[in-house]
Amino acid sequence: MAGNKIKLQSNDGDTFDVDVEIAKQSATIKTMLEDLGMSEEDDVIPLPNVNSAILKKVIQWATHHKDDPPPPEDDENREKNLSDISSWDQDFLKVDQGTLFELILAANYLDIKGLLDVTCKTVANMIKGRTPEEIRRQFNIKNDFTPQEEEQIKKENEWCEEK
Amino acid sequence: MNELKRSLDFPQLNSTERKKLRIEPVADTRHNSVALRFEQLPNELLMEIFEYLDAYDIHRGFSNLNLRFQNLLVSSSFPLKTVFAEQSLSTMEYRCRHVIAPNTRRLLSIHLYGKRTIRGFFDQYNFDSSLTRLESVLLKDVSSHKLLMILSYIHSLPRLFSLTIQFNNDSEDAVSDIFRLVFRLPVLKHFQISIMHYYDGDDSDNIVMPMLINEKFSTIERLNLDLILNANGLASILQHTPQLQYLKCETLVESEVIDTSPILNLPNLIHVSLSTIDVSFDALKKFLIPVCRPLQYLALTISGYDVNYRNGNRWQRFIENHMPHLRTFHLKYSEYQTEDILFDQEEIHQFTSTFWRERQWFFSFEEKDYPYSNEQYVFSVHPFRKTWYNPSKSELINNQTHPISLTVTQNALYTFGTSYVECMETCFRTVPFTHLNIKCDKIPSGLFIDLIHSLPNLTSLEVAAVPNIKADSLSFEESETALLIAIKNKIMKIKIGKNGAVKDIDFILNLCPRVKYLEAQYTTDEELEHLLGVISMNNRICTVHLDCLAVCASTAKEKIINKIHGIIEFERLFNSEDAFRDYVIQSTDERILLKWNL
Repeated sequence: MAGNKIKLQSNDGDTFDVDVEIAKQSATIKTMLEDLGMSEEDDVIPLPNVNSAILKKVIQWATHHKDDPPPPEDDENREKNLSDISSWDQDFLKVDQGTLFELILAANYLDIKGLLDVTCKTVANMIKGRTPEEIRRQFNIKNDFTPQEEEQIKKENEWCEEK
Repeated sequence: MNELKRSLDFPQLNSTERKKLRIEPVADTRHNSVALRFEQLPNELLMEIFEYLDAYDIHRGFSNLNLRFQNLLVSSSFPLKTVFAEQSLSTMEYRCRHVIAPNTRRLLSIHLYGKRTIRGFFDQYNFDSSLTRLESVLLKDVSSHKLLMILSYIHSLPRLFSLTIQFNNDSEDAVSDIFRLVFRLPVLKHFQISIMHYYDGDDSDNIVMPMLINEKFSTIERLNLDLILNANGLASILQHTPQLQYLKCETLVESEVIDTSPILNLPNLIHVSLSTIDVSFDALKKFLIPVCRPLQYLALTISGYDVNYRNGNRWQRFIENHMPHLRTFHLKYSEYQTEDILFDQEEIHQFTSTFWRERQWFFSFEEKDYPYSNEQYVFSVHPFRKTWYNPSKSELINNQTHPISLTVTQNALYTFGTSYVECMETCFRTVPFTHLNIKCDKIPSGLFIDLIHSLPNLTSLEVAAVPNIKADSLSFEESETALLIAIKNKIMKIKIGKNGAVKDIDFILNLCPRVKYLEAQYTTDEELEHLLGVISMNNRICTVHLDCLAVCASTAKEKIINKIHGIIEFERLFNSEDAFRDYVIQSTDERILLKWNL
């Protein structure tokens, strides 16, 4: 750790110099730095679950949100709302599906609540109000039911189709 | 709640279920170049996504996609939320039968909107103890009779933490009965109640709820009361909630019998947000004193007429003596006056003293924008807010001049016409306003000039629309005044709502030659061209400090950025090669920032 910067290393070996305060938006990194006693001698923090391209995106998101106020104290009582995604986040998440899902995994691994919320919201918006066929096409989900199982399920879910 | 959720996946699954769900995902191909697919997300993250969706959407969309999703929906016990709003009765019947009934032990929240929906739902279903995980219930637009009935069922829910109700007060005595039933809910933490009616000035909700012998206290920690209450009524409610931490109440009205209020003991109350109508400073103080010692956050919205609310020293003494832990203070006092605001200079300076500066609580003044409202002037104190004209906290803290904002609305013109400045003379003379926000679409150019001339301490200026300046039609006096303003004013930041004609923007830039930052709304490419042209021209001879333009646009930013590049190339080709020297363009949330070297 040099000055107020730390080095983060992706699973494909790239290292990124990041302001400590920006990196600490990740509760995982914050814990490594504070609770596990990582110090200046620990040159690089390895992040074995995040590749270089995704880590770059995560750092970009964390840099943009570095001055965000902390969530209100009664945050846990707030209803989960699909519509409150800032225009910057909407632009930031105009990426291919693979990148979006990788960002969800990275946000979860790094424990960045804001990024996890906004990426999950984005995927939920892609699902809301869609029919099963639309979802199947949207996410390229393969049907592995046997014809008998499929028939049975269709019968059970007739009520969904009607309404 | 989220952290808990992620660390304790599937708390109610047995080990076989858990294994089954964990094994199902497709093998990890992430380290190959193959793009990650939705199906490859682990179950806990799919559930995180499902948290944003209604139970019906999840079942409808995923129940017959493939084995993994079917297993996830049927075999696991992840919590479901459901919202009913204006569905047909047959749809409601189907949903109750196919989503609610088979999943009673998984339902986390049920939200019902509308009388017809609520009636239809309870014709199909009743709350009972089988809803073992139900934590949140919302009932919007319910009759008090129906509500009383529902509350008696709700009592059987073992984990109901949050209850939100909005109802018509169609029965005089219902409110107290509703509170009594709610206070008996065994584990309720959050309660929000809203009564739909119009306040006509003397009609508060009649709540009298003395503690009964052996009556248990409520477990409520957060209380949101959208009722019209007098101080006695509010105190009567609060005596039942000794664990209260957060209180929001609107609206508190003057009580004449405040001395008979019960003694309150709320040691955990740290957050209060209160709106009042016609409650005097002394009466409000008397109500707050027994409960305000632990307060860390206090927001007051006050309507009425009591000049004591304007007295900074009184607030300071009150806060110092009774609220030692207060960190955040919002005060919005709306006062009715027909004449010129009579400021006592000393009073206003009290709000800018060291006490307020140390806490970073800032004073501002504005007129309400409702011409027919009784409340004309709003005095407010608020904590630091990051704005375009106050971008940095440290800048404010280090600055010896306390920022004071003045907002002029359309109402000013409606009420005073062009004699506005004359009417506000006392106010302008005594308060060193540093920020002026003109919210009028059409402000006469003479008034605009007079206004800026009367406020010599301005450092920032915001105009909803550029005044239509006809330089050649300015009177001799107005032209002289404009020249004087240009020589003396300290305005460094300007924000323009709607762009105007080239000569109008040119006039503003000439009026404020010390400007360093200009912000304007993007409307059309043509106006953007005009704006950059005017800046380029003035940058050499007049506004020589201007090195940043913010263009507000939330969509089509790439197109606008390309356009800016094109315009600058054109400017360099046909005007000055040095135009926008070494410029860079940055895109932020709502703005495109163009910065250049001088």
